[in-house]
Amino acid sequence: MTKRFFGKTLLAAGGFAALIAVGVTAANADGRHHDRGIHLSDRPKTIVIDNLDTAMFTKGDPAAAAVAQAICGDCHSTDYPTTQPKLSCKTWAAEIVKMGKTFRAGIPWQEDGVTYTQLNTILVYLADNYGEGSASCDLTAIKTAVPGLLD
Amino acid sequence: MRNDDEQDARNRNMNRRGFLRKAGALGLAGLAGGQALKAVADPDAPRVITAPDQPNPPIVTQNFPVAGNDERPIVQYPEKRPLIRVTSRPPQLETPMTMLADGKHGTLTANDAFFVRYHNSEIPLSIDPKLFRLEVKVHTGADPYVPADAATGTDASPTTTVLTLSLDDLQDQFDKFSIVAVNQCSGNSRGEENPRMPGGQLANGAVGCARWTGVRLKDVLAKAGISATAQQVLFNGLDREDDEPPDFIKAIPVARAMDGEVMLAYAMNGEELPMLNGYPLRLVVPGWFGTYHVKHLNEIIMSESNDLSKLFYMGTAYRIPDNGTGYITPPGAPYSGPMKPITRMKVRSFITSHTDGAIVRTGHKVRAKGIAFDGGDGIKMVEFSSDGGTTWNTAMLGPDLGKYAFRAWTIRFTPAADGAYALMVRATSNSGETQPTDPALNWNPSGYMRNVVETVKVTAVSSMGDNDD
Repeated sequence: MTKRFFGKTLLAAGGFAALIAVGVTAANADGRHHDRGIHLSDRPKTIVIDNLDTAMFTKGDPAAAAVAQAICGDCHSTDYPTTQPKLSCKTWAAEIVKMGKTFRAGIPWQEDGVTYTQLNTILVYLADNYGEGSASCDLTAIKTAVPGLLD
Repeated sequence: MRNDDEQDARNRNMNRRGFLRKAGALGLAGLAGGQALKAVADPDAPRVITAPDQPNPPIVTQNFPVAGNDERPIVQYPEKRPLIRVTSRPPQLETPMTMLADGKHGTLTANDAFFVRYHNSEIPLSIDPKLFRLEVKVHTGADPYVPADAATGTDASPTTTVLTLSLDDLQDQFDKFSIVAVNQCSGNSRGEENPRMPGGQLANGAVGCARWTGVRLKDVLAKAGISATAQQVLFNGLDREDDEPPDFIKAIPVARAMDGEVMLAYAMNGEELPMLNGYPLRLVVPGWFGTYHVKHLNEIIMSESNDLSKLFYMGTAYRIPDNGTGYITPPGAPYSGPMKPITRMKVRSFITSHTDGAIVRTGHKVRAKGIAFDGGDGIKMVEFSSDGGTTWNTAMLGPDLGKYAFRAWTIRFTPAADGAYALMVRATSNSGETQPTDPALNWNPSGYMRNVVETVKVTAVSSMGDNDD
């Protein structure tokens, strides 16, 4: 209503299109002059999503799940692995190596003292619970591809 | 280490997740609470948008051809409706097909239904629009632009900042420009592939269409003084932590950057962007996959180098076989040939009125509807089949909102007998491009660029409570 009132008043006063635009925006809380139909707030915007990060490894051996939760979950939510297709152990190993090399978790891996034993625990856990099984797992693959960690 | 100016710019642009995490619940309460009392009266009071805890969300199971770990919770995020959550940190949210085009004209995707996809876990969660700045920089020489890398202690290639713009500057100094354009994830429908591959396990809902409003990229680059020797334009957003994975930087050739359609959007369907869709500014490259639509855009680099090999998301990821089709046959076959960055979307169409397992009424007219789109020629025709592709009928098209937009379609069919019906839809673009029917010709190692004709299976029954029409 206010916007229309401004517009009509200015039209009656002489019909300057530019003034109408100013009149319309002057009705906005922010008093912005560039509004031609879109209002952008000047107020800082914060969203809170930490409370929604609740993904957990729930299947299988709780001790192995805890290792996977701690190491995988350090960088990303654990629904990243748990929504994958039923991958082969070879592909799971490649994914773990990718985290270590391409995505550089390798640096914190070393700094945090993550061991090959722990990574192989994760590999077997993922293959058994979210893959095709661990029978074919090559437990030397990660060590070969990501050198420099503790055993 | 990053140089100080860059670090300052980052600090100015956002409160990092790390800050919020360290501050903890108490600190956050202080941030919100200290000013909450004045929230009504103070036009500058920060907005803190929360979503409820959802410890036991509803679960849906995606109906992929090859079964995997396909249960997905339906979770509501700030500024969003409850959507299909693929991952939570960083969030990847998929739009249920029935919400794909329930915005204006049956053609636009509502902001609160629009899909979300991030790459790095450290994403901006708090931004002050008054302090936000977009910086336009120049990178000279033929050597590739190298991003900063804290893990190896590498500095970014030197650049010169030639233009710094606030959100007010963008609105005041440039002509306003709007375009209706589709944003589709390169890996949309990856979960439908056979064989399946690692990656974001999406059904068909990582796509949306919005009216984007902002400024033309060419106007900003012209003001910055783009030189005749510039080759590529690079785009970087705020979603990165210094010790994080490779920075998410994308690049497009200068000719595309200056075409007058590529734009910087500060509004989406007439409102500011949701935080999770790139607030306060994102790149829109109409017709090209969503990977180019960089969110939280705060850095543009005009580079004289055509070498993009040092940009992980151009030189390593988001690449398709450079073999003419972009697909590998047979599916799953090894491929070691050349690769190239994915760019333009292929023609697609979806049914949004019915999902797998829906019940329709035998002997009564059923109204099917949906959307179609392509990479920028516009949609000429949409055909519909209710018998698994044996016979096809031409659907009626909805309003034409431009060659980069969803094109709504609708058609009625009458199931003659009780039983299963395979509903299919197939679009043809104005250039004559159409959708393949054989998924075996539509596969590549990363599960990108799928556009095969999709099928929705419904069942007709003679007696049911509600009239479906």
